[in-house]
Amino acid sequence: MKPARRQMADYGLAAALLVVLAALMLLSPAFRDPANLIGIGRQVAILGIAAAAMTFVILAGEIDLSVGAVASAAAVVTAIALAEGYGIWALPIGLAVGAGFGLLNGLLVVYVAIPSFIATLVSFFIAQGVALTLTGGRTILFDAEWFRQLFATGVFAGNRAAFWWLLAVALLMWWLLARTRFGANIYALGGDAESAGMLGLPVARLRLAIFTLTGALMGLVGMILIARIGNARADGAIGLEFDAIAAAVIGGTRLGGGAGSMPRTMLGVALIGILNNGLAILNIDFNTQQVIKGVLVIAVVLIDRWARGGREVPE
Amino acid sequence: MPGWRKVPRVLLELSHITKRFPGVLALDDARFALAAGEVHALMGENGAGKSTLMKIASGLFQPDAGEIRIDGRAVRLSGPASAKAAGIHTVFQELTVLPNRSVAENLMIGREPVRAGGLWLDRGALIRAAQRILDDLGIPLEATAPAGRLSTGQRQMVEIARASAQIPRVLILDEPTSSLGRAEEELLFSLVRRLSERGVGIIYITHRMSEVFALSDRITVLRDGRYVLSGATADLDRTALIRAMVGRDVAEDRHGTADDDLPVVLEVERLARGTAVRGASLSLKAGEVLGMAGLMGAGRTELARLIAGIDRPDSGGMTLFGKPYAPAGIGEALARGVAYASEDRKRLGLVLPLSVADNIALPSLRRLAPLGVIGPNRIAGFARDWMERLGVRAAGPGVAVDTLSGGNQQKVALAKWLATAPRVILLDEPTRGVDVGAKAEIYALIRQLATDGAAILAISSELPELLQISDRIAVMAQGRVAGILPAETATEESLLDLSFTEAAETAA
Ligand SMILES: Nc1ncnc2c1ncn2[C@@H]1O[C@H](COP(=O)(O)OP(=O)(O)OP(=O)(O)O)[C@@H](O)[C@H]1O
Ligand SMILES: [Mg+2]
Repeated sequence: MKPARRQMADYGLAAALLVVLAALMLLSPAFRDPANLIGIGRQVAILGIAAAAMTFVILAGEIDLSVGAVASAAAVVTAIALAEGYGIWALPIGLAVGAGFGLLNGLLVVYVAIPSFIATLVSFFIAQGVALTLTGGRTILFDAEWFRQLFATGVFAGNRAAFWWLLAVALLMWWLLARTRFGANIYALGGDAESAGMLGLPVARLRLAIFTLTGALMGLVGMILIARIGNARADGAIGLEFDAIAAAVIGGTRLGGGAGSMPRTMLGVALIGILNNGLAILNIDFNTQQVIKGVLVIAVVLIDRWARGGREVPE
Repeated sequence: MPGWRKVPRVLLELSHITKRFPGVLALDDARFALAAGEVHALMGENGAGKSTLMKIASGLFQPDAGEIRIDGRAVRLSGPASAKAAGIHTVFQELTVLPNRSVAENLMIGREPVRAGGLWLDRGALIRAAQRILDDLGIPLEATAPAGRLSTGQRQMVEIARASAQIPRVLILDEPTSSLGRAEEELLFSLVRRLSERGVGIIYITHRMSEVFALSDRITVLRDGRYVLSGATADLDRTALIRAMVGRDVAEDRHGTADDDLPVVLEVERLARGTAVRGASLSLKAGEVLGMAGLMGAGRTELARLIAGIDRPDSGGMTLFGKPYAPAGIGEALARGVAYASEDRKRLGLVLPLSVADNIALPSLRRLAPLGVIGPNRIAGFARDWMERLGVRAAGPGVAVDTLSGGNQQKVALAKWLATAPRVILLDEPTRGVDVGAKAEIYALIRQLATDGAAILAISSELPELLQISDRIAVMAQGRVAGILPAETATEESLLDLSFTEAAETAA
């Protein structure tokens, strides 16, 4: 039993997506080429996975500014491991780097009681430092066709591997969030952390799990990144944190926690992906694309506030 | 009568409990023993340590010293989860209902029904189980309703349902009726009786004497963190109890005198908003306390919010000192001398992490710091003055409000608005959670404000309180003012009678 406004906001995002899609299809034959449309799915893989993780973090009332730097560090370490001939062992190594930074975030937030904004900023600097030290500012080249196929370029059932990784992660995260007690607890934590503690929820363990999971997913993002382009740089994924936050917020995730959902975040990801792709095809330059993203975030936030009745004072 | 009722088995025993917070000794060698099947009232002034003791029994705080025994065995309650595992369930004074979740999700938190070995939440079962709990208890709520939209009283019922549905062995209720209406109170009382008959030990904290005598088998009193006495309710009377709590006698008498010649300050005419307020009219006079009675959902708080500028009316109008008054927000209302002390101090009244002084001074800053420069000494002095007038018990004006006991937070919330020197004062449940001694002080203060010329509207669900502080008493029913009685001649019965007035009868 949702009020009409709320429902409109729920569908509003999907409607906006369809409008943008239809407009771009009318405007550009190159855009409506099926190969291009399918391609969007893998173009948003990295953003999508990061946004899925960020949705968890924001829902729990936290923020993670380190995702781009951690993904970059994991990418560099994985590339070095591949270049040094570690072969399949490069995968657990890359994941462990990501999960390790995530755990560090969690430990800082839970046991040192540092706000996540600061804690993940610390990790951001450490991860950047590690990546820069390891690369010495150079680009790391590696030669592992199997790796590139597995994480990005291989084609399965009509789409690239990167897309399938996104789909798998999105489904996993949806299930965790919407269909497990873990997910219910995350909503509770984001709704009111103090109450959650008084209710006996394992607040510390939840926070550790959320940050560690996010870190591990950034390991995966790092691997997809280098598999796609075939080399690794220390700043490979820097800036990803802001795109991930933007996608989650466009999807209706409330900063501060407690409200949002995985399907809606994915709609936000799709909207950004379609816009980026379409605007690039229409030869609109990157800077203008950034401005459009900014306008989009504001529009969505305003619509969301309107849908919630626009009241600042609680009833 | 089953045999165990005659030889009560001690379920929970707290002994030699000491708990120190920075600057406060909250509990000092306190003790408490609860038998199976008894309703045990825990009483004491604001800040006496009742909630702290119960938080220790709920695993939320660790005592600095002392022992907890369950069924005679010493235990350590390392957290709320371990207390629950031992069968101790608590309705805390600070409500813990999660605003962003549905009623069902709140009720079933931590024990959501799952399928496939815990891999899959069963949403259908969750909603059905929650609805069954609500229906069994007779709580008229939809399990799927978002909890954020519930009134304070409804949220309190959700808490009570959550704790009692988990088959507790010990049920702790910390001021459970503080925002309940009469019907809900009855539901709670019958639930308490039912559970105690089944052998559940119930600890009941309240400042309302009538509840204590109606409900409890035993009473334990704390004062300043220390154990004062414990005895069968039948052996104690009101005066003895108050003396044990406060350490002196407290006068309780009526003041009210309705005076038709007082100048009208605020005229409210046929205000309406949504379904809550449907054409309410009344007038507030300088120097008069107008009490306001009514059942939960009668529209009292909603009406006050309209007068306070928080909400805008759909229709109807107001005049203040003879001029049209249609405040666009709280700021405008305050500027014109209308202040509203909310019933919901957690959401509207207080900035919990800020200090007592900052909270009290906040709405008065314009006056205290006309040039925008805030002198900390000036604010501390200002706050200390108001803390004294209301008897706020805190280590000093600099401590954060969220470390105060519930009743003392209420006094700070009140001080904050009174300090703006308003000419019209709207008080919504001004003594919720306030102890008898402090209540008397607040009553005296309200009378003093009226004598000084303020026009006061005092909403309360405690009829004895209304009879004590008011000059006239308005009764709201179904969004309208069903009648206004002089307090001198009104009785609890006549007020209740009016509360049940049907909409059709007040339509005139
Ligand atoms: N978290 C805390 N930090 C610091 N001091 C605290 C904290 N909790 C309680 N206190 C202090 O401990 C004392 C006892 O508080 P408590 O909440 O137990 O009182 P209470 O008997 O429940 O009062 P009330 O009737 O007002 O609810 C008070 O002086 C209070 O300020
Ligand atoms: Mg208390």
